[in-house]
Amino acid sequence: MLKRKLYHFLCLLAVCQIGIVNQLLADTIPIPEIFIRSSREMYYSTANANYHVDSFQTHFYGQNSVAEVLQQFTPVQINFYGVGGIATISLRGTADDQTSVYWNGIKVNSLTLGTMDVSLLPVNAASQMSVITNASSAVLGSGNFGGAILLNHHPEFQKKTSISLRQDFSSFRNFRTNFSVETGNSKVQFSSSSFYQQAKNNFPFYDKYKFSEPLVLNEHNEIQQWATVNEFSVKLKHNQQLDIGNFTLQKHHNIPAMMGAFQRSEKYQNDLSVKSFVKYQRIFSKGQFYLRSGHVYDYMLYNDSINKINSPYYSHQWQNSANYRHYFKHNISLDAGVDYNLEYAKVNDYAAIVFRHRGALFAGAKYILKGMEVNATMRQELLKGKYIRPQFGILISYSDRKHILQTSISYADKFRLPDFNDLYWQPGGNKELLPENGYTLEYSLTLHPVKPLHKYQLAFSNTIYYSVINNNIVWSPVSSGLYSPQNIKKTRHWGLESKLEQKIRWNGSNAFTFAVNYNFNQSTIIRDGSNPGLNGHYIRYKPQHTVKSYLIFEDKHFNIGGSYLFVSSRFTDDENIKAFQLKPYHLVDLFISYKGGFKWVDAEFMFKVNNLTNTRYESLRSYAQPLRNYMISILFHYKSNKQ
Amino acid sequence: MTKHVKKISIALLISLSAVACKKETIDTTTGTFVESGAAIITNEGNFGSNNGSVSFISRNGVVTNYIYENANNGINLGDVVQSYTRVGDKGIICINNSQKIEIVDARTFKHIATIADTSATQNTSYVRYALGINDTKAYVTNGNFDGEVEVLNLNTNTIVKSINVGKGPEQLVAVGTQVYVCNSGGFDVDSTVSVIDATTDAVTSTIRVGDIPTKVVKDAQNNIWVLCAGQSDYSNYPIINKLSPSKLVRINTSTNTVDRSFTLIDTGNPSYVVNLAIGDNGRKVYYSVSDKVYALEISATTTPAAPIISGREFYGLTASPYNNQVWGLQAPNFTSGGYVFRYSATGSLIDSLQVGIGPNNAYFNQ
Repeated sequence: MLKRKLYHFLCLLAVCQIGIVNQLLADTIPIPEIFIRSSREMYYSTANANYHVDSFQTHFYGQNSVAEVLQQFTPVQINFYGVGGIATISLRGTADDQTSVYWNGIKVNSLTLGTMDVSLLPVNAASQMSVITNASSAVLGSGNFGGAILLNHHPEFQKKTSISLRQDFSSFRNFRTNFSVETGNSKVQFSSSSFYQQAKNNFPFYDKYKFSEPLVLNEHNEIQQWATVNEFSVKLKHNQQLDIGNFTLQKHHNIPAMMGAFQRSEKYQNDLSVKSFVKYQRIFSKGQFYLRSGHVYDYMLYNDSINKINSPYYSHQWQNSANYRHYFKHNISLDAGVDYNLEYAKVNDYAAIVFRHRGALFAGAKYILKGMEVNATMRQELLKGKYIRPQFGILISYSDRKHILQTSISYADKFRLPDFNDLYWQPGGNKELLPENGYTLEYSLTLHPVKPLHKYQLAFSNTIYYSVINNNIVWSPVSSGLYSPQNIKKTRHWGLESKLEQKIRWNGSNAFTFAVNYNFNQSTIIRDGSNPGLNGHYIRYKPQHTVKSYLIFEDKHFNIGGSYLFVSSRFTDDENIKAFQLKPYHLVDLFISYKGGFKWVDAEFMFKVNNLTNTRYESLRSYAQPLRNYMISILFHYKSNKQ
Repeated sequence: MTKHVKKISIALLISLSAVACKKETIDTTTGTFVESGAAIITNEGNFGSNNGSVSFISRNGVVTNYIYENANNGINLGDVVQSYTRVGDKGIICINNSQKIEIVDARTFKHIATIADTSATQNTSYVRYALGINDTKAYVTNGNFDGEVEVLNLNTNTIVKSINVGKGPEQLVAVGTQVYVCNSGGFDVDSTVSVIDATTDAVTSTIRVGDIPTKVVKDAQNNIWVLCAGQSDYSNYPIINKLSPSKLVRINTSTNTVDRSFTLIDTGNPSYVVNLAIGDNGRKVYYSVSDKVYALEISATTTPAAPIISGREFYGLTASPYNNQVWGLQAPNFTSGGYVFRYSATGSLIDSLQVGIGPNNAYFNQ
C-alpha cells in the first residue's frame, strides 16, 4: 500500500516538474545549437561491430526489462533465473561478471557480485541501447571481456512536449504501467519516465525433474516493482552543457521453488537501486572537455525464512571522470583523461565494512585519412597494493568513398578486478586474488551491396573474434575443506557474428524490415587448476549456435511482425555430461498493432503472442519458463510543437 | 494491405508450427545393480542444478554412471543426491534439495515411486539417510532444524509416522532393535544421539556425545562409533578455529553410555574432520582429519600417530566389507565429475575411478 502511494507521489512529482520546466522555458532565450561530440566510450570504441537497439524494436517488448530486448536484437545471451528473477548477461561465451553495463557512462554492475542483474533495468531506463562487442579496458577499465552494454540518454534540444501513457496486460496477472513526459526547447530539455509493475507470474510448466513430468503451477513468484528515471539537460552557454540524471528502482520478488523441488519456497529478494550522475561539457575552439560524476547505491536483501537466512547487502560507488580532447587538425585528435572511483560495501558476511579507492590515467589518439581511421588508446589503472600492467587498444578501419565496403581490425587488452565477494566473503574470501587478464582480436567486414537509399537498405556484416582470458576466478574446494576463489582457469573464446539487415519502404508509410543474426561461439577451457582433465572442454551454458531474427511489416495503421530465437544445446557442467545437457530450443513471438489518431492524441492498440509454439525450454537448468502467453497493450501519446 | 497481412500471418503460423515439431531420442539402457560386493555411489551434483546422480561400481571395478537416467528415459534424479540404501528388492534414494525420497527397483533402478513433501503427513523437507528396519519398513532422517525420523511403509511407499528426535538428524545405524540417530544440529548446533526402539518407534534414550555428531558406524562388537565434528569459527578465514573439539566417541550399546572418547582436534586448532568408516570386518574405524586418513583398532585406547593415507582430501570415506579396501570419494569441484580412489587396507593406492559430480557416499550390496 505504501509502495503504491509512493508511486502515485512520484507520478505527481513528475507532472509538477513539467510545470516548473515550462515556467523556466518561458524565461530563457534560445541560443544556437551546439554540437557535442561523442563520449570517450564511443569515440575510442575498438569494436568493429556495434549493435544498437532502437525504440521501434523495444516498442514490441512492452515494458519488460532490457534483458528481453538485448536477448532478441543483439548477440547478447541472457541467463534468466526464472521469470521475473535475476537475469545476467553473457557475451561471446564469457562469464556473467565479465560484461559491464553503463548507464550514461556510469558503470552499474554490482560491486559485491560483479554481475549486472538486467532484470532491474526497465527499457525506459535509456533512450539508446548499444552493445560494444570488443570493449577495450584501455577505454572502459575493468570487466569487459565479453563487451559492454551502454545505456544512454541523448537529449534532442527541440521545442516540443510529448506525453505518453502505456498500459500492458499480460498473462499470469502481469500489469505494467508507464507514464513518460519530455519537454524542452533549444536550451533546456527534461524527461521523466515512471514505471510500475505488479505480476503474479503463476504460470504452468511441465516439470521435467519430476517423474512423469507433471504440469505444475509456478507459485510464489510475485513481483512488485517501480522505477523512475529523470533527466535534465541545460545549455549553460553556447558552448557549455550540463546534464543531470537520476534512476531509482525498487523491486520485491518472491523467489519460487526450483524445478524438481516439492517444498513450497518462502524465499524473497528486495532490491533498491539509486543511480545518479551529473556531467558538465564544454567545447573550445580546438577542443572539448567533460567532467562527469556518478553515484550508484545498491541495497539487496535475500530472505529465506525456512532456512533462517536474512542477508542484507549495501554498497556505494562514486565514479568520477574528466577528459580533455584536443584537435590538432580536423582529422587528428588527442585525448587525456583521469578517473577516480571510491567503492564501499557493508555486508553481513564480510568481517568488516570495506572500501576500495582506485584511479586511472587515460590517453587516446585518433587519425582519419580518406576513409581510413586509426585510433589508439592506453590506460594505466592505479590500485593500492596491486600492479596492473598498462592496457592498450587499437582499431584500424577503412571505408570506401561510397560506403559499400567497410572493414576493420582491432586489438584490445582486457582485465577484471575481483568483485568484493571474491575478496571479502566469510568464509572463503581471498584478498590475494589477482585480476583476470586477457585480450581480444577482432576483424569485421560490412557490405552495403546496394547504395543506401531511403526506399531500400541492405547491409551484411561478418565479424570474427578470438579472445583469451587468464587467471579466471573460480570458487573451488580448498585445503580447509571449504570453498575459496582462486585464479585457476584459462579460457579461450572465438567465433563468428553474422548479421543481415534489409529494409524496403514504399507508398510513404509502408515498410518491410527483416534482420537475421547468426552467432557461432566456441568457448573452451584451456587449463583448469582444480581438474586438469577438463582441458579442452566446453564452458558450461555457452551455446555454440544462436540465430536471432525478426521481421516487421509497417502500414499507416497496422504493424505486424514476429521474432525468432534459436539457441543450440548447452552443457551445464564443465565435464560436458550429456545426461545433463540442455536441449536446443526455438522461440517465436508474433505481434500486431493498430494505430489511430485523434486531434491531439495518438492511440495504439497492440496484441502480442509470446512463445507461439508452446516450446518447453530452460534458459538455465532448473529454472521454469512459461509456455505460450499473451500481452495486450494500450498506448496514448500526445506530442506538440510548442511555439 | 490488410489482405497481405492476413496471408503473411497464415504462412508464418504454418511454417512456425513445423518448426515446433521435433523428434526426441530416448536411451533405455538398463543394468543389474544388486551384484554382491558391488557399490552404489551417490553423487550430490551441483547445488541447485538437478544434476545429482548414482554410479554403479561392479566388484571388478567397472563403473556405470547415471544409472537412474539410463533406466528411466533420461529423467534426471534430482538435486543433491544424498544417500542410497537397499531394503529388500527396493532401493531408497534420499534427494535432499529436491525434498523427495525416490523408491527404485534395486535390480534395475527403474522408478517405482516418489515420496515427496506434498502434505503435512509426507514431510520430506530435508531428507538425509535411510535405514531398512525390515523388508516393508524403513527409517529416514529429516530436518535441518527440528528433526524427525520418518517411518516409511514400503508396501504403500508412504510415510506413516514421524518420530521427533534432535536437531538436524544425519546418519543412523541399527543394533538389534535399537536405532541410533546422530543429531548434528543441522543449521544450528546439537550434540546428542537419539535411541529409537524400532519395534515401537519410540525414542527410548538420548545420549550426549560431542558437538555436531554427523557420522555413525557399528563395529564387530555391536558397539557404535560417532564422529562429532565440533563447532568452528570462520571469522578469521582462511584460519579456521575450533570452538569445540572434534571427537570420536564410542557408545556401549548394552548400557547406551559413552565408554570411550578420543579428541581428534582440540579447541583452537585449524584442522577439521568430516569422514568416518568401518572396515576390516568391523575391527577398524577409519576417520579423516584434513588430508589424512587414520585407522583405529576398535580395541585401541589412544589414536594412531601416523595416517595410512595422506595428501588427499575426501568428501566421503568408506570401506568395502568384501575386500577390505578403503575408498576415498573426492569432489575436486561441483561442476565436473568426481573420483573414487581405492586403497588397500594399509593405505596403498590401487586405482581411481571417475564417477558423477560430487560423490559423497557409497553403499555396498550385501
